[in-house]
Amino acid sequence: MKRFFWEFLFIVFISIFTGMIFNTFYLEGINLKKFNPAPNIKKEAKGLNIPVLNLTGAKEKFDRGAIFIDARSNEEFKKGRIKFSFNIPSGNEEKFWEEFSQFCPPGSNEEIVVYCDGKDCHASLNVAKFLKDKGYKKVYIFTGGWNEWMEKGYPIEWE
Amino acid sequence: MDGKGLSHRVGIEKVIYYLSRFIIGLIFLYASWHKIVHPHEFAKVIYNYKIFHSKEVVNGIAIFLPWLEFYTGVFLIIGVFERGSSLSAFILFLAFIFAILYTIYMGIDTNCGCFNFSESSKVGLPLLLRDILFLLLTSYVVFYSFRKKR
Repeated sequence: MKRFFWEFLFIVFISIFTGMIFNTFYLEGINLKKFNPAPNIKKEAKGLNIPVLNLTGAKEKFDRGAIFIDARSNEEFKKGRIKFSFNIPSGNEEKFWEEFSQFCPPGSNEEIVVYCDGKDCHASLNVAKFLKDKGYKKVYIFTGGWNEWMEKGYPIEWE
Repeated sequence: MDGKGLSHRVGIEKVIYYLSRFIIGLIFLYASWHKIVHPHEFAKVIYNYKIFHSKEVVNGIAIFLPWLEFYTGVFLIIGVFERGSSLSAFILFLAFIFAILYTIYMGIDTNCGCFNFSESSKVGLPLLLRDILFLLLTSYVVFYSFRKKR
């Protein structure tokens, strides 16, 4: 049994050692302290030609009656969401979109604001891209998402 | 069971053991390659699982984990440190299954990053079943290598 453990520790040790050495000399190595693995939504959205909104911009759209789409999972959506939001979870877009499309068909001129948790989540981008591909013209991403909206005390609802 | 029957059974067990070890070794070796070559992409995938929030921890894992997979695979194939490498494979599969279960439970939509970084390899039930199958195969290797060397 002891042998199992020591052999395993040895493999872990040489893996750490090789990883560090390789990463130091590899041209595409990671800067351990500087590299940020969180998705850069703003940059990716710009590449897809989707405008990005901050909290103020999102609240303005909300007050003007824009449609809000929650790109988080259905469970999270039920626990709490921006008031009057629809749910189109990332990864399950097609199924949830069918219901939404009856309310707001593709090609519509309605302003649509997509959000997820906050700055680090990728779901809003996936859903915004999906809606653009479906033919919706005015799609925005609210990067602050549910977290910022809730912290500010803006209108929410839940089931 | 007579002596001939027993030796036949032992022979079959041995063949299954070597075959399982070789298959798991190949899986790890193949899985490690794209992660070693594209560490930035791999760090992004780890981050998307939302298990670790510190970028230093995520980056550290992205540097270390592919090599753990690599050595586990190599040692399983060539039969060096059989016990340690089979234990390593077992722990890795357990960790992967935990990560998949966590992702499914939290409703996180992310790519697996297991063998490539394409959008098509989403985390979900099929992936969970696949890893459970791999874990069962690895359990046999751990069990056999422990019994063999005792």
